[in-house]
Amino acid sequence: MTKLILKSVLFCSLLGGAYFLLVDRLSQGFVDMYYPKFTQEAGSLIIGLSRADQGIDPQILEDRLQGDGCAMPMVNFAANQNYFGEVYHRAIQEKLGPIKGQRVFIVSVSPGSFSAPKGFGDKGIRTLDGKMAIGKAGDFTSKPNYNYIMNCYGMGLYTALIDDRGWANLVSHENGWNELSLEAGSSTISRALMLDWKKQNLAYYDRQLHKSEIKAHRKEWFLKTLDHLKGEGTVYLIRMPVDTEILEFETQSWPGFTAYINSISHEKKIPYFDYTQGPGTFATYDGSHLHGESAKAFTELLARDIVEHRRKHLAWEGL
Amino acid sequence: MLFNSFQFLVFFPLVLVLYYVLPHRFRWLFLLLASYFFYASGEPYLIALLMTSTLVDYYCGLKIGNSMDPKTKKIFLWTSILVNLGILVSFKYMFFLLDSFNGLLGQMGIEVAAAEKIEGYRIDQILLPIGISFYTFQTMSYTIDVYRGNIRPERHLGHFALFVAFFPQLVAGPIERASRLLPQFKKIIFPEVQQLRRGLVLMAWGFFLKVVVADRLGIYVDTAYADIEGNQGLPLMLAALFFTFQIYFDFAGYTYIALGAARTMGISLINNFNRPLFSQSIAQFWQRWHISLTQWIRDYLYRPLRRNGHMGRLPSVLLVFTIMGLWHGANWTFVVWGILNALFLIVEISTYSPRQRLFATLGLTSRAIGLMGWAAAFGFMVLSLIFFRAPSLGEAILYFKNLFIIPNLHFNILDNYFELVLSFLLILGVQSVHYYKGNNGIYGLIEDVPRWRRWSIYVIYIVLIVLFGLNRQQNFIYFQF
Repeated sequence: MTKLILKSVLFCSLLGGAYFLLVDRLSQGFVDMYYPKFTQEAGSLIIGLSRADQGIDPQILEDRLQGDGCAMPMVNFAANQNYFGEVYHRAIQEKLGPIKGQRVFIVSVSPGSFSAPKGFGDKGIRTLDGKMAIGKAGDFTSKPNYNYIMNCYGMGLYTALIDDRGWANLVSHENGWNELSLEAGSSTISRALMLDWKKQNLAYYDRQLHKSEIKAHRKEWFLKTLDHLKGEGTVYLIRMPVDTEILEFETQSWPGFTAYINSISHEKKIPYFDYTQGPGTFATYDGSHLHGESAKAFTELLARDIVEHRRKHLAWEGL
Repeated sequence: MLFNSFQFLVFFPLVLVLYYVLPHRFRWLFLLLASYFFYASGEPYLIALLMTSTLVDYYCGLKIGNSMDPKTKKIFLWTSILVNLGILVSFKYMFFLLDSFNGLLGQMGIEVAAAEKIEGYRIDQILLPIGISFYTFQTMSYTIDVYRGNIRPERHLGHFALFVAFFPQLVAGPIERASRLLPQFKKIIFPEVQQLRRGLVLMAWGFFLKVVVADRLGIYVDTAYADIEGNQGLPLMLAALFFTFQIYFDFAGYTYIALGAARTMGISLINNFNRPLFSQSIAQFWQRWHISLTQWIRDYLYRPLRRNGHMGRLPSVLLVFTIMGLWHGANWTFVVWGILNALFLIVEISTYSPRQRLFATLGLTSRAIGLMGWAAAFGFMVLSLIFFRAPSLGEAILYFKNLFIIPNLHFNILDNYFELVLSFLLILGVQSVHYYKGNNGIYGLIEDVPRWRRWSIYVIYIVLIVLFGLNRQQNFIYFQF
């Protein structure tokens, strides 16, 4: 019996030791495109889906807003499955560090942020969201974040032994921004490929239109999140620029979306910047997401609008 | 609590040590508390359902056993059956039935105002409560057995409660019989090296099947099923094939862990599998797949239907397979899956003699006949399981429509050839082990072999599970049933 216990302990130690060794090794290199979003306490946040994830560069915002005493660091905490809901709300609460200035929250909205598959009730949505990284991670701020790797990393740990930095055209910045470069060394994204992506994207939106619907649960938690964020700092609602065809789909999926956001903006006294007007100004690579250069230009405009708004607002308060 | 979670890795060794440290007379209580804790760690309030089922069946069992009056016995038997089926229907099928009824009214042109609301609740109902189909069937078998005089009623409420709630098999079976399990709780068990070792090997194999193989196949399957229209042709064929192995390895993985955990405590559970994917007919498949369920259906449903000529063979087969399909989930997809199996089985049975004559005329060897039978049965399972996996009938039909679109040869939908090749190799490896060792002889891998070979297997296991295991902590598929 003693022999069996000793063997079992040795076996478990070897297994556990090898496992943690690889987890640690992986944490020292590239984990995945979402890992950097979980490795620091945030002063200010960018919230939303993949458009905000790839379309807003926190560094530019930090540079432009630093003079206004904006709480740093600004972290891009948006991701392609971060829909408004209880799970995202709690993740945002966990993500914020101690207050060291005036917090700024940029909340990107689109009809997609409020949708879920047809037939899903509140509990179904919570379960669905709970399976995403924001639902599975128990730690949002540590570096290295072993908890993230152990709970959210989708690949085998063999990746720790190979120098795989993912897709060469996608650069995952430390501040959570995922920048898509049209040119990365020898890898160039051609115009034809972008058109094909856009076509696929439109077909996908078309299919999703019949499968998902706007949910009261998401609206309810969107309002709760706004209330919470308002208590923490200044909130800006924004709608990211997209191509006209995508915008048409969104209007079809929720015709009253703009009116809804305008009413929330008015009711909660939160400024709303709608950048969907003037298509073509900021180029996307698939009709929906801004590429790196475009994202930088867009973030400059966003920063300018925020600074202007803050100045006006502060001047008004000063009167 | 999931078997493949870190909580279980702490929970189980602790339970095992305390189980053997405690004197025999306290073990049932300790195991019962541990089992309730295990179940309640997910959704605590659902334990009330488990307790209700336990108390009702305990009481009914006693009443049936103590009464000499056939009428009284029948009343308590039906009380037990109705309460258990009532719980099952209320928590698993209510919204499905209402939804289907509303759909029918809608087809007839009658407007149903609340239909939207019911649809909104449907998915939630499917998600809960975990393991309800397993433990209600298990407790029902107890009262039926007492009624039939096969067993005497259990007088110790604690032992009976443990029979219903024993944590290794509580949430996804195997569906045990009281005559097998209850006496084992009463037996004084001493820790035995061979039992412990065999139990641990079974658990290790189960973990491997789940976190290395089933969850890996699940990524491809989930991606394909998430966008059936966008993944026509080859990717859908591959996803259908992978799902067949995914569900087998997932369920078998769970069962190995359950069997292993019980065995370390000196308790033997029925094995649910016997190399089902090597079956040479659908009839054989159902004798080798989810054995505890098919035996339950045979003993408590099929045989009573056939006895005294209540129902003919073919309608009985059709009915039990429809029920078996519905047992898996509150969705028409499961019903269709069950009916398809019944129809295939009926065709198989009714064409048996002419087929044998044809094979004899053609002079086919038994090996060739077996191979053809296997190809037909396996091909049928791959295709019929599309209904099992698809979220709705509409999507299952769409899947079939898109399945044979040849131009789409881009099967690498995850953009990762390594993972794809690895998936095939793992399927091949696991099935080879199952083929040579059988589902009941996994521990033969390390027993009666030289030390160097045993330790090589340990090292290979560690390397495989650490390098290729996925940390997804995905629920076992059968948990939702």
